[in-house]
Amino acid sequence: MSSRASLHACGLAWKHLSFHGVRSGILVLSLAISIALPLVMQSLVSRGEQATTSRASVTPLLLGAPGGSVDLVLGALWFLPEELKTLPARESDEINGSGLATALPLSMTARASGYPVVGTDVAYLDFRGLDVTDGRQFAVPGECVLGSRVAAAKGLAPGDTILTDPEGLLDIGGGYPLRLRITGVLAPSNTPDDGAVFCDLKTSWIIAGYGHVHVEVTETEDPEAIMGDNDGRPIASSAVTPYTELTPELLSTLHFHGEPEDLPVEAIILVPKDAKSRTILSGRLGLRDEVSVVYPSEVVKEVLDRVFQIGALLAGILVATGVATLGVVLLVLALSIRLRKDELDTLRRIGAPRSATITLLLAEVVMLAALACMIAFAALAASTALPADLVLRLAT
Amino acid sequence: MPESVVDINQLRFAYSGTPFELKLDHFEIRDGERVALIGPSGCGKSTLLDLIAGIREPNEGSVETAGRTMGSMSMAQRRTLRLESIGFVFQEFRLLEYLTVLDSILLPIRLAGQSVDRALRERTQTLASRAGIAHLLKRRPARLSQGERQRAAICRALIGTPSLVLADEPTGNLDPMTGNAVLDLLFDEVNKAGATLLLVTHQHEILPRFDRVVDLGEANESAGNESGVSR
Amino acid sequence: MSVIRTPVILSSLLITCMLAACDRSSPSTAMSTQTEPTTPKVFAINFPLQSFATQIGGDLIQVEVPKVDGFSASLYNPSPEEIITIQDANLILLNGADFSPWTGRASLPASKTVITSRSFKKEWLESSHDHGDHDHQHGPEGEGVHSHAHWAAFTWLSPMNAKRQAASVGQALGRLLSADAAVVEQRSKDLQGSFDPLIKQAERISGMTMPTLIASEPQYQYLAKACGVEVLEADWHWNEPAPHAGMDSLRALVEASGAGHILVPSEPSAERSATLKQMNLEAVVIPLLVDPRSGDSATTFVEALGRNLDTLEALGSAQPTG
Repeated sequence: MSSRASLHACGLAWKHLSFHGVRSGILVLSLAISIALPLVMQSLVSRGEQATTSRASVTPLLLGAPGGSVDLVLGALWFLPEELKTLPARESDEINGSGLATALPLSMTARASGYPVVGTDVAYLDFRGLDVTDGRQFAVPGECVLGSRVAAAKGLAPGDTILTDPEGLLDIGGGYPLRLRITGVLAPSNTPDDGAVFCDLKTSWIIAGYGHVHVEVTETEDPEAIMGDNDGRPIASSAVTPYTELTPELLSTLHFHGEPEDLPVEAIILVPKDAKSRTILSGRLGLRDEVSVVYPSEVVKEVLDRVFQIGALLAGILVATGVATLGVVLLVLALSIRLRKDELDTLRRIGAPRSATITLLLAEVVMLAALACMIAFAALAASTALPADLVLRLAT
Repeated sequence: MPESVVDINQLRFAYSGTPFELKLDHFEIRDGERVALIGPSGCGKSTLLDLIAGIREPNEGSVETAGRTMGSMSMAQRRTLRLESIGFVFQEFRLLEYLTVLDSILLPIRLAGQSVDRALRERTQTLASRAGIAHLLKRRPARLSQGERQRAAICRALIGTPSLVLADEPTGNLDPMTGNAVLDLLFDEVNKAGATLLLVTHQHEILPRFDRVVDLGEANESAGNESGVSR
Repeated sequence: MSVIRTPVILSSLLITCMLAACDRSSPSTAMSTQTEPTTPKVFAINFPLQSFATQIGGDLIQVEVPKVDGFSASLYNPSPEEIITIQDANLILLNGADFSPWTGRASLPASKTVITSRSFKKEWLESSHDHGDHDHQHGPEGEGVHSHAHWAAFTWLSPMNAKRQAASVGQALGRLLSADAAVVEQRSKDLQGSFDPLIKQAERISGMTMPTLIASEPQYQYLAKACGVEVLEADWHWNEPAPHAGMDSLRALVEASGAGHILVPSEPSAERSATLKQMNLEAVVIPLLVDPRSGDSATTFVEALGRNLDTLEALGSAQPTG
């Protein structure tokens, strides 16, 4: 058969497919899904592994209270709402004072509009390479910077405020929610940092009720604000404000209950100065029962090994589904050939070369497969645009 | 004397597993002849067309079409012969549902690997105009009447200027008026092309149009009859 | 980890792995890879620390100080924007002991911040100044009476404290300038050594009989303790315009103690001098050495502290021993 005849057979195939657009579309889509699912799954798993491992590997050491190391890593690196035991902030100060490592304390108990509020040291932003693209970083308690996704989702910008979520109705000691002033928005990093609110550790302590400011209720004009009198001192009623905001005036009255170094943190990221410091530090800390030193990359590797067993099983199921779908598609094509018996007989009677008939049928399969592959690869490409911490929104 | 376009000798054909048998001692159609093939249903009229076109092979005897002996040709050669020298018109039109009238008419040309040049386009246009379907070239069969479909099918059969046109009850599915018009077209075009026509029909009222009428029911030796009935 | 929670965590991680992708340019540990092509900036909160940093760091560092513009560094209260600038310093030298209370409320990078008086925290003196303290009940569990002690801030007026603060600065600079550690260490040792004569001088003063002294402000506690001198604290705001707050209490203190000298941070005005003269009080100028000096100032803290001790010693010598 001449190449022109082959080309024409391909043209016929295309005309046939487009004439039966809906049927062809369903076939292409089914094929595309059965091809795309295992591919996308595989890709997500491997990229996820890379992302997970990379976040863990850039977090050299983690210090926490003794307990589950997995919880500690998930909490400190992904801000997953794990209830962690605490250790005093003194641990962080001592490590900084030793000069062996930079200690970055983390307090993740609070939330604002559902997003984790991470109380930490300003150096955390440098450590994670997070740039403030809009505004500036926090400078005093009561200020915060937003991860890019929080800012985008809530439509917030520097100058706006965000209210912390009340822990519960019976949270008497914890005080009112704190209204945080947004001073900056971080550049997207495709990490869990995009979905968090960052503030000073002291801010987290205030939210948790470990420190407070003195609001002068006598200055308020609201008659509902004063509930009673205690030796000339007014007693504020709950009508004063449903929240607290640390204005510059109030900030000067800020104080903590006890020494700040005794206040709790959930985790401390340790960035040793060098390998020697790392060895000394992990050796020293490893000897102590009241703290637990964790190597995030080791913990993550251990967990990933288990996760990938499940992942492999899931991939197997998807491949089986894909094979079944392929079988169904082939069956549909076979049935379609039977339905086209008259058409093929007409071609034979007219004198169409056998090769033209074969080309016609094969071209249809190839076209369907090619379209399906294109869609599958487009889906694969699109899946790479999924943000790194989309998972956190799903997982938490 | 004109040459034979179809020359069948000592033919015997049977479908395996069935009592049907077609036996022809001699059957010949000369160049330019218009022959009607009649006979009761199941006497082998369509089978004979298939044998002449090389779609089926006889069990015995020889079939010569357009000067070529079918028995000595491969299947591919017989297909090429059909594509280049034989035009088929079917009772049920057999247009491909996904092709426009234009694509349908040009189908044999394209299947033969020929390029559709200007001359061919003009010929298609002329043919379609004469068939009264020039304005329907972009339509698909579903949007055509029965008569329009058969006209398109006739154009498809004649586009390659075949030397032999085999028509299997081309008016069988048409009302008498439409059938007549379609026959007019077929005869006109066959005449213009100088082609030979072998047409299977059950409609005795159209027989006067033909040069010769062959009753296969009588001609089939297996039915105990002599061949050929001429008018 | 409990058996029930394991699947939850595993599934979280699985989703994490599936979707936590795209970490194409994973942020590196900025701290460990950061290079500093420019001269490191060191923020010093007061004159002593400025002086120590300059003497030890020399041209290896760039020393920055609070922009006080006419008021005392002890009253410095930076805006958030100024705090951001301070955050950018490679080393932040703070005094501790409640000097500059804003430092306890600012977000400063702890790893770069050094509280130079931390090593002698147990020796911090409680401030006799009234801060309007309050006692009240609160806390996460709503229990515990809260009371916050305030510390006397002018630690550096004691030569021993100043030496320890200098050592702390030397240590911090040694870490910052690790490439020049040997130079820094030597300069730090030299600086600490220069305090030894002053410590001896303070011991000498403590062996002398001193006249009864009144302090115009309560900032001389560390100096008094170092020199073994009893200083009566008057709440006389010596530098405020008339009418002089605390005038009556000062007069009562003079009458009760028979003191003839009052320690003041700087030369009193003519009007003030006249007031003191009426009470038979001689003003003895002992600068508090708090405010950072401009770069061209040749006087080091050690020299300035030496002068303070000389002034005090002269006071003792002038008084015949009994």
